[in-house]
Amino acid sequence: MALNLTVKLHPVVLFQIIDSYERRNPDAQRVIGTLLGTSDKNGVEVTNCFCVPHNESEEEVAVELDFAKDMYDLHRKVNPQESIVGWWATGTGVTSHSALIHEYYSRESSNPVHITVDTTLQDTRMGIKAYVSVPMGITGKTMGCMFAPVSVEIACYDPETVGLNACQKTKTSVKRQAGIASDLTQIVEASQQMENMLDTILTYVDDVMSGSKTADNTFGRSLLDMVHSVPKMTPDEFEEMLNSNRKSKGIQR
Amino acid sequence: MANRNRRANAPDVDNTIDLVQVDGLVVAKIIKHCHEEGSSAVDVAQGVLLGLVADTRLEVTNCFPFPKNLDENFDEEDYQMEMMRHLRKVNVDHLHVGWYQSTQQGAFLSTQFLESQFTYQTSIEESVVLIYDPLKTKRGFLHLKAYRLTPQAVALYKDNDFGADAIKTHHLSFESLYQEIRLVIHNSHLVNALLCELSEMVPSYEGSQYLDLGTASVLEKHLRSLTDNVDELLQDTNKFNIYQRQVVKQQQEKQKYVQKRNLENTARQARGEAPLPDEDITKVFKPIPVPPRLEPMVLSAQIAAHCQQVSLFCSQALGKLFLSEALQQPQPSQQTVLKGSSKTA
Repeated sequence: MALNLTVKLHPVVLFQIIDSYERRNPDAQRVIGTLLGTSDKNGVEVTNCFCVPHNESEEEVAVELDFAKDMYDLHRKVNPQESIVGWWATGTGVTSHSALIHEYYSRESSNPVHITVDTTLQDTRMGIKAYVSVPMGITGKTMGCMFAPVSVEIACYDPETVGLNACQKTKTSVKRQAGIASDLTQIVEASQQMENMLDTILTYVDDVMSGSKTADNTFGRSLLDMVHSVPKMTPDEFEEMLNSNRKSKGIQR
Repeated sequence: MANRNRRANAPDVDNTIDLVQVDGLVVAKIIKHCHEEGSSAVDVAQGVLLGLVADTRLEVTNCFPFPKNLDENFDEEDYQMEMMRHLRKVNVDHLHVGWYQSTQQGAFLSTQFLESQFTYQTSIEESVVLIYDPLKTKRGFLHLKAYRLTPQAVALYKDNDFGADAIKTHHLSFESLYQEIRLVIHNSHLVNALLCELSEMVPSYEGSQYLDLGTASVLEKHLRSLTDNVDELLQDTNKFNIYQRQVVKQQQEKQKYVQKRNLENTARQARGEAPLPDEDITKVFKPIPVPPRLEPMVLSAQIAAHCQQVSLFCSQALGKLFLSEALQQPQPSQQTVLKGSSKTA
Protein backbone atom coordinates (compact mmCIF):
# COMPACT_ATOMS: atom_id res chain seq x y z
CA MET A 1 0.00 0.00 0.00
CA ALA A 2 1.80 3.04 -1.27
CA LEU A 3 1.97 5.93 1.10
CA ASN A 4 2.71 8.49 -1.57
CA LEU A 5 -0.93 8.44 -2.63
CA THR A 6 -2.65 11.72 -3.24
CA VAL A 7 -6.33 11.90 -2.57
CA LYS A 8 -8.10 14.31 -4.91
CA LEU A 9 -11.34 15.50 -3.45
CA HIS A 10 -14.06 17.25 -5.37
CA PRO A 11 -15.88 20.06 -3.55
CA VAL A 12 -19.25 18.35 -3.97
CA VAL A 13 -18.05 15.58 -1.63
CA LEU A 14 -17.30 18.11 1.12
CA PHE A 15 -20.61 19.89 0.62
CA GLN A 16 -22.41 16.56 0.96
CA ILE A 17 -20.46 15.59 4.09
CA ILE A 18 -21.34 18.85 5.82
CA ASP A 19 -24.97 18.57 4.80
CA SER A 20 -25.16 15.04 6.20
CA TYR A 21 -23.55 16.24 9.42
CA GLU A 22 -26.09 19.05 9.74
CA ARG A 23 -28.93 16.59 9.25
CA ARG A 24 -27.64 13.95 11.66
CA ASN A 25 -29.89 12.40 14.28
CA PRO A 26 -29.87 14.35 17.56
CA ASP A 27 -28.07 11.62 19.49
CA ALA A 28 -25.36 10.98 16.94
CA GLN A 29 -21.90 12.37 17.58
CA ARG A 30 -20.60 11.80 14.14
CA VAL A 31 -21.81 10.62 10.76
CA ILE A 32 -20.16 8.27 8.32
CA GLY A 33 -20.69 7.41 4.70
CA THR A 34 -19.24 5.90 1.56
CA LEU A 35 -16.88 7.59 -0.85
CA LEU A 36 -17.25 6.99 -4.57
CA GLY A 37 -14.76 7.71 -7.26
CA THR A 38 -11.97 6.28 -9.32
CA SER A 39 -8.54 5.12 -8.31
CA ASP A 40 -5.32 4.47 -10.13
CA LYS A 41 -1.80 3.73 -8.99
CA ASN A 42 -0.91 7.34 -8.31
CA GLY A 43 -3.91 8.44 -6.44
CA VAL A 44 -7.54 8.32 -5.76
CA GLU A 45 -10.07 10.77 -7.16
CA VAL A 46 -13.18 11.07 -5.04
CA THR A 47 -16.08 12.47 -7.01
CA ASN A 48 -19.16 11.58 -5.00
CA CYS A 49 -20.29 10.36 -1.62
CA PHE A 50 -23.41 9.52 0.34
CA CYS A 51 -24.27 9.18 4.00
CA VAL A 52 -24.87 5.78 5.62
CA PRO A 53 -26.89 5.60 8.84
CA HIS A 54 -25.02 4.04 11.72
CA ASN A 55 -25.19 3.69 15.49
CA GLU A 56 -22.19 4.11 17.63
CA SER A 57 -21.72 3.63 21.36
CA GLU A 58 -18.81 2.92 23.66
CA GLU A 59 -18.83 -0.80 23.09
CA GLU A 60 -20.13 -1.37 19.64
CA VAL A 61 -20.79 0.11 16.28
CA ALA A 62 -23.52 -0.88 13.85
CA VAL A 63 -23.61 0.26 10.25
CA GLU A 64 -26.53 -0.34 7.93
CA LEU A 65 -24.72 -2.28 5.26
CA ASP A 66 -27.84 -3.04 3.21
CA PHE A 67 -28.52 0.65 2.92
CA ALA A 68 -24.96 1.20 1.76
CA LYS A 69 -25.29 -1.50 -0.84
CA ASP A 70 -28.62 -0.21 -2.14
CA MET A 71 -27.44 3.39 -2.37
CA TYR A 72 -24.31 2.28 -4.19
CA ASP A 73 -26.43 0.39 -6.73
CA LEU A 74 -28.66 3.41 -7.28
CA HIS A 75 -25.64 5.64 -7.80
CA ARG A 76 -24.13 3.15 -10.20
CA LYS A 77 -27.18 3.46 -12.43
CA VAL A 78 -26.38 7.10 -13.01
CA ASN A 79 -22.62 6.83 -13.29
CA PRO A 80 -21.26 3.31 -13.81
CA GLN A 81 -17.67 4.55 -13.67
CA GLU A 82 -17.85 5.41 -10.00
CA SER A 83 -16.80 2.70 -7.60
CA ILE A 84 -16.38 2.59 -3.84
CA VAL A 85 -12.97 4.01 -2.99
CA GLY A 86 -13.31 4.36 0.75
CA TRP A 87 -15.37 5.98 3.46
CA TRP A 88 -15.65 9.25 5.30
CA ALA A 89 -16.43 10.31 8.84
CA THR A 90 -16.85 13.62 10.59
CA GLY A 91 -14.83 14.47 13.63
CA THR A 92 -11.14 14.35 14.37
CA GLY A 93 -8.94 11.38 14.77
CA VAL A 94 -9.42 7.74 14.24
CA THR A 95 -11.11 5.52 16.82
CA SER A 96 -11.11 1.78 17.29
CA HIS A 97 -14.55 1.70 15.74
CA SER A 98 -13.06 3.26 12.65
CA ALA A 99 -10.79 0.23 12.28
CA LEU A 100 -13.82 -2.04 12.19
CA ILE A 101 -15.62 0.10 9.65
CA HIS A 102 -12.46 0.32 7.59
CA GLU A 103 -12.27 -3.44 7.54
CA TYR A 104 -15.75 -3.65 6.07
CA TYR A 105 -14.80 -1.19 3.38
CA SER A 106 -11.64 -3.08 2.52
CA ARG A 107 -13.91 -5.94 1.55
CA GLU A 108 -15.74 -3.63 -0.85
CA SER A 109 -12.71 -2.08 -2.45
CA SER A 110 -8.99 -2.66 -2.52
CA ASN A 111 -7.05 -0.21 -0.38
CA PRO A 112 -9.84 2.07 0.73
CA VAL A 113 -9.03 5.58 1.89
CA HIS A 114 -10.55 7.12 4.97
CA ILE A 115 -11.32 10.81 5.04
CA THR A 116 -12.14 12.79 8.15
CA VAL A 117 -13.64 16.24 8.14
CA ASP A 118 -13.48 18.14 11.39
CA THR A 119 -16.89 19.77 11.60
CA THR A 120 -16.36 20.80 15.21
CA LEU A 121 -13.80 23.33 13.94
CA GLN A 122 -11.12 22.51 16.47
CA ASP A 123 -8.16 24.86 16.19
CA THR A 124 -10.47 27.17 14.21
CA ARG A 125 -9.83 25.11 11.07
CA MET A 126 -11.97 22.57 9.32
CA GLY A 127 -9.36 19.86 9.08
CA ILE A 128 -9.74 17.65 6.05
CA LYS A 129 -7.48 14.65 6.41
CA ALA A 130 -7.09 11.40 4.55
CA TYR A 131 -5.69 8.09 5.77
CA VAL A 132 -4.87 4.66 4.43
CA SER A 133 -4.60 1.59 6.55
CA VAL A 134 -1.13 0.17 6.95
CA PRO A 135 -0.63 -3.15 8.67
CA MET A 136 1.83 -3.03 11.51
CA GLY A 137 3.05 -5.31 14.12
CA ILE A 138 5.41 -8.17 14.52
CA THR A 139 5.17 -10.74 11.78
CA GLY A 140 3.83 -13.99 13.07
CA LYS A 141 1.84 -12.39 15.86
CA THR A 142 -1.53 -10.62 15.65
CA MET A 143 -1.30 -7.83 13.15
CA GLY A 144 -2.70 -4.45 13.92
CA CYS A 145 -3.25 -1.63 11.58
CA MET A 146 -2.21 1.96 11.58
CA PHE A 147 -3.96 4.78 9.84
CA ALA A 148 -1.23 6.59 8.01
CA PRO A 149 -2.02 10.08 6.75
CA VAL A 150 -1.83 10.84 3.05
CA SER A 151 -2.01 14.18 1.31
CA VAL A 152 -5.30 15.72 0.23
CA GLU A 153 -5.84 17.99 -2.73
CA ILE A 154 -8.95 19.66 -4.00
CA ALA A 155 -9.60 18.80 -7.62
CA CYS A 156 -12.28 20.56 -9.62
CA TYR A 157 -13.73 20.27 -13.04
CA ASP A 158 -13.77 23.70 -14.75
CA PRO A 159 -17.48 24.28 -14.19
CA GLU A 160 -17.07 23.27 -10.53
CA THR A 161 -14.58 26.10 -10.00
CA VAL A 162 -17.07 28.51 -11.48
CA GLY A 163 -19.85 27.22 -9.22
CA LEU A 164 -17.52 27.40 -6.22
CA ASN A 165 -16.65 31.02 -6.98
CA ALA A 166 -20.33 31.87 -7.20
CA CYS A 167 -20.93 30.21 -3.82
CA GLN A 168 -18.03 32.10 -2.22
CA LYS A 169 -20.12 35.25 -2.15
CA THR A 170 -22.40 33.82 0.53
CA LYS A 171 -19.59 34.30 3.04
CA THR A 172 -19.94 38.06 2.96
CA SER A 173 -23.70 38.43 2.73
CA VAL A 174 -25.76 38.94 5.90
CA LYS A 175 -28.49 36.51 4.93
CA ARG A 176 -25.88 34.10 3.57
CA GLN A 177 -27.43 34.47 0.15
CA ALA A 178 -25.75 35.20 -3.13
CA GLY A 179 -27.57 35.92 -6.34
CA ILE A 180 -26.00 34.74 -9.56
CA ALA A 181 -24.40 37.77 -11.17
CA SER A 182 -25.11 38.57 -14.79
CA ASP A 183 -22.25 38.28 -17.27
CA LEU A 184 -21.42 41.97 -17.41
CA THR A 185 -21.50 42.33 -13.62
CA GLN A 186 -18.91 39.58 -13.36
CA ILE A 187 -16.63 41.39 -15.79
CA VAL A 188 -17.06 44.61 -13.79
CA GLU A 189 -16.18 42.81 -10.56
CA ALA A 190 -13.16 41.21 -12.20
CA SER A 191 -11.90 44.55 -13.46
CA GLN A 192 -12.31 46.03 -9.97
CA GLN A 193 -10.29 43.16 -8.58
CA MET A 194 -7.61 43.77 -11.20
CA GLU A 195 -7.59 47.45 -10.27
CA ASN A 196 -6.99 46.55 -6.63
CA MET A 197 -4.23 44.15 -7.54
CA LEU A 198 -2.59 46.76 -9.76
CA ASP A 199 -2.77 49.31 -6.94
CA THR A 200 -0.95 46.88 -4.62
CA ILE A 201 1.73 46.31 -7.23
CA LEU A 202 2.12 50.04 -7.81
CA THR A 203 2.53 50.77 -4.10
CA TYR A 204 5.20 48.06 -3.97
CA VAL A 205 7.03 49.47 -6.98
CA ASP A 206 6.86 53.00 -5.56
CA ASP A 207 8.24 51.78 -2.25
CA VAL A 208 11.12 50.03 -3.95
CA MET A 209 11.86 53.10 -6.09
CA SER A 210 11.90 55.39 -3.06
CA GLY A 211 14.12 52.94 -1.23
CA SER A 212 11.83 52.02 1.65
CA LYS A 213 11.70 48.40 0.54
CA THR A 214 14.47 46.23 -0.77
CA ALA A 215 14.09 45.06 -4.31
CA ASP A 216 13.50 41.39 -4.83
CA ASN A 217 14.84 40.04 -8.12
CA THR A 218 12.27 37.29 -8.56
CA PHE A 219 9.46 39.80 -8.02
CA GLY A 220 11.01 42.11 -10.54
CA ARG A 221 11.28 39.35 -13.11
CA SER A 222 7.64 38.31 -12.70
CA LEU A 223 6.57 41.95 -13.03
CA LEU A 224 8.57 42.20 -16.23
CA ASP A 225 6.90 39.02 -17.51
CA MET A 226 3.51 40.47 -16.70
CA VAL A 227 4.17 43.70 -18.57
CA HIS A 228 5.50 41.78 -21.54
CA SER A 229 2.48 39.51 -21.62
CA VAL A 230 0.37 42.35 -23.00
CA PRO A 231 0.29 41.40 -26.71
CA LYS A 232 2.35 43.70 -28.86
CA MET A 233 0.33 45.14 -31.67
CA THR A 234 0.64 48.30 -33.66
CA PRO A 235 -2.21 50.72 -32.93
CA ASP A 236 -3.60 50.16 -36.44
CA GLU A 237 -3.69 46.40 -36.08
CA PHE A 238 -5.42 46.72 -32.75
CA GLU A 239 -7.93 49.24 -34.04
CA GLU A 240 -8.78 46.89 -36.88
CA MET A 241 -9.25 43.88 -34.59
CA LEU A 242 -11.38 45.96 -32.25
CA ASN A 243 -13.58 47.31 -35.02
CA SER A 244 -14.12 43.94 -36.66
CA ASN A 245 -15.15 42.47 -33.33
CA ARG A 246 -17.46 45.39 -32.68
CA LYS A 247 -19.04 45.01 -36.10
CA SER A 248 -19.70 41.35 -35.51
CA LYS A 249 -21.50 42.41 -32.37
CA GLY A 250 -23.52 44.94 -34.30
CA ILE A 251 -22.15 48.24 -33.01
CA GLN A 252 -20.24 50.75 -35.14
CA ARG A 253 -17.95 53.28 -33.61
CA MET B 1 -42.33 39.36 -8.64
CA ALA B 2 -45.77 37.91 -9.38
CA ASN B 3 -48.30 38.58 -6.65
CA ARG B 4 -51.15 36.77 -8.31
CA ASN B 5 -53.73 35.17 -6.04
CA ARG B 6 -53.74 31.45 -5.96
CA ARG B 7 -56.55 29.54 -7.61
CA ALA B 8 -59.33 28.33 -5.32
CA ASN B 9 -58.27 24.69 -5.42
CA ALA B 10 -55.00 25.36 -3.55
CA PRO B 11 -56.17 26.73 -0.24
CA ASP B 12 -53.10 25.74 1.75
CA VAL B 13 -50.67 28.00 -0.12
CA ASP B 14 -51.54 31.67 -0.09
CA ASN B 15 -48.63 33.23 -1.84
CA THR B 16 -46.93 32.60 -5.10
CA ILE B 17 -43.29 31.71 -4.88
CA ASP B 18 -41.16 34.73 -5.69
CA LEU B 19 -37.74 33.46 -4.66
CA VAL B 20 -35.98 30.18 -5.20
CA GLN B 21 -33.23 29.55 -2.67
CA VAL B 22 -30.77 26.90 -3.75
CA ASP B 23 -28.22 25.34 -1.42
CA GLY B 24 -24.58 25.31 -2.46
CA LEU B 25 -24.76 21.52 -2.30
CA VAL B 26 -27.44 21.44 -5.00
CA VAL B 27 -25.40 23.72 -7.26
CA ALA B 28 -22.35 21.49 -6.81
CA LYS B 29 -24.33 18.32 -7.49
CA ILE B 30 -26.02 19.68 -10.61
CA ILE B 31 -22.70 20.89 -11.99
CA LYS B 32 -21.06 17.53 -11.33
CA HIS B 33 -23.88 15.50 -12.86
CA CYS B 34 -24.18 17.61 -16.02
CA HIS B 35 -20.42 17.67 -16.45
CA GLU B 36 -20.14 13.92 -16.17
CA GLU B 37 -22.99 13.27 -18.57
CA GLY B 38 -20.92 14.87 -21.27
CA SER B 39 -22.10 17.35 -23.84
CA SER B 40 -24.02 15.08 -26.19
CA ALA B 41 -26.31 17.20 -28.27
CA VAL B 42 -29.32 14.92 -28.08
CA ASP B 43 -29.64 13.82 -24.51
CA VAL B 44 -30.02 16.17 -21.64
CA ALA B 45 -29.10 15.47 -18.07
CA GLN B 46 -32.09 15.56 -15.77
CA GLY B 47 -32.74 15.13 -12.12
CA VAL B 48 -35.12 15.73 -9.26
CA LEU B 49 -35.08 18.61 -6.78
CA LEU B 50 -35.95 18.11 -3.14
CA GLY B 51 -36.65 20.75 -0.57
CA LEU B 52 -39.39 22.63 1.19
CA VAL B 53 -41.63 25.67 0.88
CA ALA B 54 -41.30 28.51 3.40
CA ASP B 55 -43.69 31.47 2.89
CA THR B 56 -42.93 32.84 -0.55
CA ARG B 57 -39.59 31.13 -0.70
CA LEU B 58 -38.92 27.79 -2.29
CA GLU B 59 -35.88 26.20 -0.67
CA VAL B 60 -34.11 23.54 -2.66
CA THR B 61 -31.92 21.61 -0.25
CA ASN B 62 -30.95 18.49 -2.16
CA CYS B 63 -31.22 16.85 -5.53
CA PHE B 64 -30.45 13.58 -7.24
CA PRO B 65 -29.83 12.75 -10.88
CA PHE B 66 -31.89 10.56 -13.14
CA PRO B 67 -30.03 7.86 -14.99
CA LYS B 68 -30.35 7.82 -18.75
CA ASN B 69 -32.74 5.08 -19.77
CA LEU B 70 -30.35 2.84 -21.60
CA ASP B 71 -31.98 -0.25 -20.22
CA GLU B 72 -35.47 -1.25 -21.42
CA ASN B 73 -36.42 -2.75 -18.09
CA PHE B 74 -35.50 0.34 -16.18
CA ASP B 75 -38.35 1.74 -14.18
CA GLU B 76 -38.12 5.45 -13.48
CA GLU B 77 -40.78 5.44 -10.81
CA ASP B 78 -39.03 2.66 -8.95
CA TYR B 79 -35.68 4.38 -9.00
CA GLN B 80 -37.19 7.59 -7.80
CA MET B 81 -39.10 5.91 -4.98
CA GLU B 82 -36.06 3.94 -3.86
CA MET B 83 -33.82 6.98 -3.89
CA MET B 84 -36.28 9.10 -1.95
CA ARG B 85 -36.86 6.36 0.58
CA HIS B 86 -33.15 6.05 1.24
CA LEU B 87 -32.62 9.78 1.41
CA ARG B 88 -35.45 10.10 3.89
CA LYS B 89 -33.57 7.70 6.17
CA VAL B 90 -30.69 10.13 6.36
CA ASN B 91 -33.05 13.03 7.13
CA VAL B 92 -32.99 14.68 3.73
CA ASP B 93 -36.10 16.73 2.90
CA HIS B 94 -38.37 14.49 0.91
CA LEU B 95 -40.73 16.99 -0.63
CA HIS B 96 -40.43 16.91 -4.37
CA VAL B 97 -40.17 20.55 -5.41
CA GLY B 98 -39.25 20.32 -9.04
CA TRP B 99 -36.71 19.08 -11.51
CA TYR B 100 -33.56 20.27 -13.22
CA GLN B 101 -32.30 19.92 -16.75
CA SER B 102 -29.13 20.76 -18.60
CA THR B 103 -29.35 22.59 -21.87
CA GLN B 104 -27.25 23.41 -24.92
CA GLN B 105 -26.76 27.10 -25.68
CA GLY B 106 -29.85 27.91 -23.69
CA ALA B 107 -32.20 26.07 -26.07
CA PHE B 108 -34.48 24.28 -23.65
CA LEU B 109 -37.96 25.30 -24.76
CA SER B 110 -39.94 22.60 -26.48
CA THR B 111 -43.44 21.21 -26.23
CA GLN B 112 -42.02 18.26 -24.33
CA PHE B 113 -40.42 20.55 -21.80
CA LEU B 114 -43.62 22.51 -21.27
CA GLU B 115 -45.62 19.34 -20.88
CA SER B 116 -43.27 17.94 -18.25
CA GLN B 117 -43.39 21.18 -16.30
CA PHE B 118 -47.17 21.14 -16.60
CA THR B 119 -47.35 17.61 -15.14
CA TYR B 120 -45.15 18.71 -12.28
CA GLN B 121 -47.12 21.84 -11.61
CA THR B 122 -50.44 20.05 -11.53
CA SER B 123 -49.22 17.55 -8.95
CA ILE B 124 -47.16 20.02 -6.91
CA GLU B 125 -48.31 23.60 -7.07
CA GLU B 126 -44.98 25.28 -6.37
CA SER B 127 -42.69 23.18 -8.51
CA VAL B 128 -40.05 24.89 -10.56
CA VAL B 129 -37.57 23.75 -13.16
CA LEU B 130 -33.92 24.71 -12.91
CA ILE B 131 -32.17 25.12 -16.21
CA TYR B 132 -28.40 24.78 -16.13
CA ASP B 133 -26.15 25.57 -19.09
CA PRO B 134 -22.93 23.55 -18.78
CA LEU B 135 -21.15 25.12 -21.76
CA LYS B 136 -21.70 28.65 -20.56
CA THR B 137 -20.59 27.69 -17.06
CA LYS B 138 -17.46 26.17 -18.51
CA ARG B 139 -16.70 29.51 -20.15
CA GLY B 140 -16.83 31.05 -16.70
CA PHE B 141 -20.37 32.34 -16.19
CA LEU B 142 -22.55 30.24 -13.94
CA HIS B 143 -25.88 29.85 -15.71
CA LEU B 144 -28.59 28.51 -13.45
CA LYS B 145 -32.14 29.81 -13.75
CA ALA B 146 -35.50 28.85 -12.29
CA TYR B 147 -38.67 28.84 -14.38
CA ARG B 148 -42.27 27.86 -14.07
CA LEU B 149 -45.37 28.03 -16.27
CA THR B 150 -47.62 31.04 -15.93
CA PRO B 151 -51.14 30.36 -14.64
CA GLN B 152 -52.57 31.10 -18.10
CA ALA B 153 -50.29 28.49 -19.66
CA VAL B 154 -51.36 25.96 -17.05
CA ALA B 155 -55.03 26.69 -17.80
CA LEU B 156 -54.36 26.26 -21.51
CA TYR B 157 -52.71 22.90 -20.97
CA LYS B 158 -55.57 21.79 -18.76
CA ASP B 159 -58.05 22.42 -21.56
CA ASN B 160 -55.72 20.61 -23.94
CA ASP B 161 -56.96 22.71 -26.83
CA PHE B 162 -54.26 24.54 -28.72
CA GLY B 163 -56.25 26.14 -31.48
CA ALA B 164 -55.91 29.85 -32.21
CA ASP B 165 -59.20 30.72 -30.47
CA ALA B 166 -58.31 28.96 -27.25
CA ILE B 167 -55.06 30.85 -27.11
CA LYS B 168 -56.87 34.14 -27.58
CA THR B 169 -59.35 33.40 -24.79
CA HIS B 170 -56.51 32.67 -22.39
CA HIS B 171 -54.72 35.87 -23.40
CA LEU B 172 -51.60 33.90 -24.05
CA SER B 173 -48.68 35.05 -26.12
CA PHE B 174 -45.19 33.66 -26.51
CA GLU B 175 -44.00 36.02 -23.81
CA SER B 176 -46.42 34.75 -21.21
CA LEU B 177 -45.78 31.03 -21.54
CA TYR B 178 -43.30 30.81 -18.71
CA GLN B 179 -41.79 33.14 -16.17
CA GLU B 180 -38.41 33.30 -14.55
CA ILE B 181 -38.15 33.32 -10.78
CA ARG B 182 -35.30 34.99 -8.92
CA LEU B 183 -32.74 32.51 -7.71
CA VAL B 184 -30.20 32.86 -4.90
CA ILE B 185 -27.57 30.52 -3.59
CA HIS B 186 -27.71 30.00 0.13
CA ASN B 187 -25.22 28.34 2.45
CA SER B 188 -25.28 27.43 6.09
CA HIS B 189 -22.62 28.75 8.48
CA LEU B 190 -20.70 25.49 8.44
CA VAL B 191 -20.60 25.54 4.65
CA ASN B 192 -19.30 29.10 4.80
CA ALA B 193 -16.50 27.82 7.02
CA LEU B 194 -15.83 25.11 4.43
CA LEU B 195 -15.73 27.77 1.72
CA CYS B 196 -13.08 29.65 3.67
CA GLU B 197 -11.01 26.47 3.77
CA LEU B 198 -11.57 25.80 0.09
CA SER B 199 -10.61 29.32 -0.90
CA GLU B 200 -7.20 28.57 0.58
CA MET B 201 -6.90 25.16 -1.00
CA VAL B 202 -8.02 26.15 -4.50
CA PRO B 203 -5.74 28.74 -6.09
CA SER B 204 -7.51 32.02 -6.76
CA TYR B 205 -6.53 32.26 -10.40
CA GLU B 206 -8.62 29.17 -11.16
CA GLY B 207 -11.96 29.92 -12.70
CA SER B 208 -10.91 33.13 -14.40
CA GLN B 209 -11.61 31.79 -17.87
CA TYR B 210 -14.48 34.22 -18.21
CA LEU B 211 -11.88 36.84 -19.08
CA ASP B 212 -11.14 35.01 -22.32
CA LEU B 213 -11.51 37.29 -25.33
CA GLY B 214 -12.32 34.65 -27.94
CA THR B 215 -15.95 35.04 -28.97
CA ALA B 216 -16.45 34.00 -32.57
CA SER B 217 -17.25 30.33 -32.00
CA VAL B 218 -19.82 31.00 -29.29
CA LEU B 219 -21.54 33.69 -31.32
CA GLU B 220 -21.61 31.34 -34.31
CA LYS B 221 -23.31 28.58 -32.34
CA HIS B 222 -25.91 30.94 -30.96
CA LEU B 223 -26.69 32.38 -34.35
CA ARG B 224 -26.91 28.94 -35.90
CA SER B 225 -29.57 27.78 -33.42
CA LEU B 226 -31.31 31.11 -33.90
CA THR B 227 -31.48 30.70 -37.66
CA ASP B 228 -32.73 27.12 -37.31
CA ASN B 229 -35.54 28.27 -35.08
CA VAL B 230 -36.44 31.16 -37.34
CA ASP B 231 -36.60 28.76 -40.31
CA GLU B 232 -38.99 26.48 -38.46
CA LEU B 233 -41.10 29.42 -37.39
CA LEU B 234 -41.28 30.57 -40.99
CA GLN B 235 -42.54 27.18 -42.12
CA ASP B 236 -45.20 27.17 -39.43
CA THR B 237 -46.28 30.69 -40.34
CA ASN B 238 -46.62 29.64 -43.97
CA LYS B 239 -48.78 26.72 -42.94
CA PHE B 240 -51.03 29.02 -40.95
CA ASN B 241 -51.33 31.46 -43.86
CA ILE B 242 -52.31 28.63 -46.19
CA TYR B 243 -54.91 27.51 -43.68
CA GLN B 244 -56.36 30.98 -43.46
CA ARG B 245 -56.59 31.27 -47.23
CA GLN B 246 -58.28 27.89 -47.41
CA VAL B 247 -60.85 28.94 -44.82
CA VAL B 248 -61.72 32.07 -46.80
CA LYS B 249 -62.04 30.08 -49.99
CA GLN B 250 -64.25 27.54 -48.31
CA GLN B 251 -66.53 30.26 -46.98
CA GLN B 252 -66.97 31.62 -50.49
CA GLU B 253 -67.74 28.20 -51.86
CA LYS B 254 -70.26 27.58 -49.11
CA GLN B 255 -72.03 30.81 -49.97
CA LYS B 256 -72.13 29.95 -53.64
CA TYR B 257 -73.51 26.50 -52.85
CA VAL B 258 -76.26 27.89 -50.65
CA GLN B 259 -77.20 30.42 -53.32
CA LYS B 260 -77.33 27.74 -55.98
CA ARG B 261 -79.54 25.59 -53.79
CA ASN B 262 -81.94 28.40 -53.14
CA LEU B 263 -82.14 29.18 -56.85
CA GLU B 264 -82.82 25.55 -57.60
CA ASN B 265 -85.44 25.35 -54.89
CA THR B 266 -87.30 28.38 -56.24
CA ALA B 267 -87.06 26.93 -59.74
CA ARG B 268 -88.43 23.63 -58.55
CA GLN B 269 -91.24 25.29 -56.66
CA ALA B 270 -92.11 27.20 -59.79
CA ARG B 271 -92.33 23.91 -61.65
CA GLY B 272 -94.33 22.37 -58.79
CA GLU B 273 -91.73 19.78 -57.70
CA ALA B 274 -90.75 19.13 -54.13
CA PRO B 275 -87.77 21.16 -52.97
CA LEU B 276 -84.48 19.43 -52.52
CA PRO B 277 -83.92 18.16 -49.01
CA ASP B 278 -81.88 20.39 -46.81
CA GLU B 279 -78.44 18.98 -46.68
CA ASP B 280 -76.10 19.55 -43.90
CA ILE B 281 -73.57 21.95 -45.32
CA THR B 282 -70.84 20.73 -43.06
CA LYS B 283 -71.04 17.30 -44.67
CA VAL B 284 -70.43 18.73 -48.11
CA PHE B 285 -67.74 21.11 -47.06
CA LYS B 286 -65.65 19.43 -44.44
CA PRO B 287 -64.21 21.89 -41.89
CA ILE B 288 -60.49 22.37 -42.37
CA PRO B 289 -58.54 21.44 -39.22
CA VAL B 290 -56.93 24.38 -37.47
CA PRO B 291 -53.17 23.97 -37.30
CA PRO B 292 -52.12 23.92 -33.64
CA ARG B 293 -50.65 27.20 -32.53
CA LEU B 294 -48.61 25.86 -29.65
CA GLU B 295 -45.55 24.91 -31.68
CA PRO B 296 -45.06 28.36 -33.29
CA MET B 297 -45.57 30.00 -29.89
CA VAL B 298 -42.92 27.82 -28.33
CA LEU B 299 -40.59 28.58 -31.24
CA SER B 300 -41.13 32.33 -30.81
CA ALA B 301 -40.43 32.05 -27.10
CA GLN B 302 -37.25 30.11 -27.85
CA ILE B 303 -36.14 32.72 -30.38
CA ALA B 304 -36.76 35.49 -27.84
CA ALA B 305 -34.68 33.59 -25.29
CA HIS B 306 -31.87 33.11 -27.83
CA CYS B 307 -31.84 36.83 -28.65
CA GLN B 308 -31.59 37.69 -25.00
CA GLN B 309 -28.68 35.28 -24.60
CA VAL B 310 -26.85 36.77 -27.56
CA SER B 311 -27.29 40.32 -26.30
CA LEU B 312 -26.03 39.36 -22.81
CA PHE B 313 -23.07 37.62 -24.37
CA CYS B 314 -22.23 40.61 -26.54
CA SER B 315 -22.43 43.06 -23.65
CA GLN B 316 -19.81 41.20 -21.65
CA ALA B 317 -17.62 40.56 -24.69
CA LEU B 318 -17.67 44.26 -25.55
CA GLY B 319 -16.78 45.08 -21.97
CA LYS B 320 -13.73 42.85 -22.22
CA LEU B 321 -12.76 44.41 -25.56
CA PHE B 322 -12.84 47.89 -24.04
CA LEU B 323 -10.70 46.63 -21.17
CA SER B 324 -8.08 45.29 -23.54
CA GLU B 325 -8.21 48.53 -25.53
CA ALA B 326 -7.24 50.45 -22.42
CA LEU B 327 -4.11 48.36 -22.13
CA GLN B 328 -3.11 49.19 -25.69
CA GLN B 329 -3.35 52.95 -25.52
CA PRO B 330 0.11 54.27 -26.46
CA GLN B 331 1.59 56.35 -23.63
CA PRO B 332 5.01 57.99 -23.29
CA SER B 333 6.17 55.91 -20.29
CA GLN B 334 5.43 52.41 -19.01
CA GLN B 335 4.31 53.64 -15.62
CA THR B 336 1.71 55.91 -17.13
CA VAL B 337 0.41 52.95 -19.09
CA LEU B 338 -0.26 51.07 -15.88
CA LYS B 339 -1.83 54.10 -14.20
CA GLY B 340 -3.91 54.81 -17.30
CA SER B 341 -5.31 51.30 -17.47
CA SER B 342 -6.12 51.20 -13.78
CA LYS B 343 -8.06 54.46 -14.16
CA THR B 344 -10.11 53.44 -17.17
CA ALA B 345 -10.84 49.91 -15.95
